[in-house]
Amino acid sequence: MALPASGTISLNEIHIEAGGTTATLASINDADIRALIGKADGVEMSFNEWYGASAGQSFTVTEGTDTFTAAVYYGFREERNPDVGSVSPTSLTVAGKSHPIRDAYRRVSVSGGVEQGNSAFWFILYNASDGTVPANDWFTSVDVEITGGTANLTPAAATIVTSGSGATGRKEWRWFSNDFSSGDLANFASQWDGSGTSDVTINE
Amino acid sequence: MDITLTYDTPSDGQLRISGTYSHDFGSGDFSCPIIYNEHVMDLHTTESRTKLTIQESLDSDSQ
Repeated sequence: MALPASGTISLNEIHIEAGGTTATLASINDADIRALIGKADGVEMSFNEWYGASAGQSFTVTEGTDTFTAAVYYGFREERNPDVGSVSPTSLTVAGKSHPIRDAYRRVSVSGGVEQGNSAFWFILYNASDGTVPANDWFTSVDVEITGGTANLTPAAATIVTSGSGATGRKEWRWFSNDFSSGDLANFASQWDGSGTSDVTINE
Repeated sequence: MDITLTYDTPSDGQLRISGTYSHDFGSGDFSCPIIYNEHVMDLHTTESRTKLTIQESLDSDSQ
């Protein structure tokens, strides 16, 4: 959960956000604490620079493979019954509300049983239980694990669609193949192959 | 299925469009980057990509 946007902020709160343990030794020059706001070692910093800072959230997809109509899907698909693959944790916190993860997968069109090579990454959240819809840009970027590293994708590059309403409504972020560099696209395909696990980190 | 997108005409240099979509079974909101080809706005491709996304989202509902 992000640090407060205003008011009092303590080093202990910052430390916890960075993944530290409450009431243990910390300094604002610790690497994990500086990383929250992208500061280099030893530079001048002020506590108000941590207003709204967040360590982000992440989830791990245990991949499954699903073929449906003209596409094959690699990753997690809660929309299927039973689920294809799994995800942990099963929800993310957006503006203080829990949003179940519906899907996170690589989608590839298929024609005549042959993949067409146009991978897309989909990330779909359900609305909160009270029907709250997450903002389009509640995250600054998402790091998707690919073979040998991560691919960084931004909401600004995403096609975003909402559908439904209430707790079963959802918001979908989709990145097309040309939102990946050519090298990343190949490594994305090799990582999200329906086997093993893949990590997704949400940067806020 | 026909999908209709409704949005304000974008200005030159605008990066995204946002609006609403509708089809036979419902409606919703969308937001997408505008595709430029050699610095010229390509709303046809922009709409096609968005409609494709909406269609594929609808497909998942029919499972």
